[in-house]
Amino acid sequence: MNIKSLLESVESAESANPNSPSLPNPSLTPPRTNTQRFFLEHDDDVTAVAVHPTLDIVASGQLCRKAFVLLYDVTSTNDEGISFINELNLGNNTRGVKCLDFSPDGAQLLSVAADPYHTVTIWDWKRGIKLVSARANNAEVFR
Amino acid sequence: MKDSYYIITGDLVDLADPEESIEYGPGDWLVGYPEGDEQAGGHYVGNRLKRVEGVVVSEGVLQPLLDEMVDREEEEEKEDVGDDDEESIDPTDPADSGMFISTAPDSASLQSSPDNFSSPHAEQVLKPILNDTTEENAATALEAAYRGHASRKASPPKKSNPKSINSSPQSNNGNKPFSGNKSKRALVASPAVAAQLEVVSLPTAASPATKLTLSAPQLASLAQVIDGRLRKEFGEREEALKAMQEMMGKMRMQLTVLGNEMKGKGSKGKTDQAAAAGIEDGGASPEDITKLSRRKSVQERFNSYSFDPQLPRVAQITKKAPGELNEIDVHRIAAANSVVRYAESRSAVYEPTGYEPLGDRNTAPSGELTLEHVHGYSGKVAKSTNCLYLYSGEVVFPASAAVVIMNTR
Repeated sequence: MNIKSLLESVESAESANPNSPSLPNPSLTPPRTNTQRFFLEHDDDVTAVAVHPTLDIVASGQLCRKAFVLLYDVTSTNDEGISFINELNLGNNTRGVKCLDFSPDGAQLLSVAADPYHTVTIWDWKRGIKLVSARANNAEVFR
Repeated sequence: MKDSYYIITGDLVDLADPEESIEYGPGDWLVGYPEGDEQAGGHYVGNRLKRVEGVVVSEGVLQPLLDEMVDREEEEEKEDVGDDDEESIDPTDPADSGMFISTAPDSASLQSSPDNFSSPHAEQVLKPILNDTTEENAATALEAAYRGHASRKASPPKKSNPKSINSSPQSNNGNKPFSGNKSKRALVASPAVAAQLEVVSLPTAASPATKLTLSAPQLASLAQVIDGRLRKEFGEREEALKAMQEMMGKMRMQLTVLGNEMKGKGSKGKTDQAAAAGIEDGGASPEDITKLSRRKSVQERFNSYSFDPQLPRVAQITKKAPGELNEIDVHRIAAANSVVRYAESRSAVYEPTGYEPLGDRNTAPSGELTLEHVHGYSGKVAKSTNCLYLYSGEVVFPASAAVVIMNTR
């Protein structure tokens, strides 16, 4: 029994009971305060988050032997909720994602891996293409 | 007590004693002890000494010695009538205390220095008598020596009193008397004798000294007699020793032969026993036994076994028919069938009692959990910029394995 069925049962109950107030249309009503939505596709600790400069698109990276970055649309007006856009695989033995950021125009995504060389990679995130990649130094990354 | 040796007044019985095991030769010292000295074992003949100092002669032994000496001189006189005594007889020096049987005396040096005594005792005893060279004194001394030489109670020899000597009891043990023998008297009366007197005496604390004066040829002849006896005994002893050595050698050879035979028998017996055992077992020769005892390899042993494929496995044999099984057997068989073996576990694992297999009920329970709210965010793991605003005004931050989009309005 999932939320959909629960909601359906609730809707059916409401429809059955005409006295009960109807649920507001989320697209038309403003969001309630301190409400949270969750992106639960990660399977380990999320170590980096980046937000598109103009769009409600979020990129997040996690710890993994083969680190990857997930891109999804978090537009609140989307009825289907959070929609998955793309997955960027940083490569073997990258261990994790230290840092993520979009370019000012939002066309490229920069990722810093957690491998000993802190490999820096620039992605065309829409197509999922690795534009350029280079090794940095092994100093610790804080931003 | 060693100083109190007799010269010529000793006991030759010891030398003739067959039980005496002391080996002595012409170069040995013969030292005697006075009779009655039980501690020293009576008469003693020392061995392994440099030379003959003297021979302890008892009364009964000296008597036949003197007789033999006289007889010998008589024979020599008969043979060599015109010859002088000096040629045939070496003048023994009185200073040489081993004058009688000494084999290597330096006679020339001793003659040149007659006062050179080998021992102080000999000097003490011999010197005064040597100085007294009168013929009368010498004759009386010799006569006294002949008659009572062995009487320990006689007077000292220096001032020999014929009366006292004559008055002393005759201690000859039934030997023939000397008085009627002319040859002896002639010996005694010979003038050359008096010049070279030889003293044979011993003064000791237990017994007073006795003297026996002899002339040089007499002494020489006496020495020859004693020497002959000694040589005879030595020869006999040497022969006996040789015979004993030969006997010992033979015994040794026999013993070695016996030992070798015993060793050979020991090894032979073992082989014979093994051979006999082999024959008793199956008439096999020792070679066959060695072949059988050779260890087979594992493959050989495995090939020697033969298995019938039609034989039932022992594990499949049931002693009872299914209808004859009782409750215990049913439980036992059930327990045996319920064994579960894991690769990680050595022992067998049994399912718990009352266990029912899941079967079709192996599904997850109905129901879901939904995440309502996240209180907190992971700022330590995500060290980069980890809290961002969306364009719509929502806050995006990571929390563990989730990304939270929070509407703060």
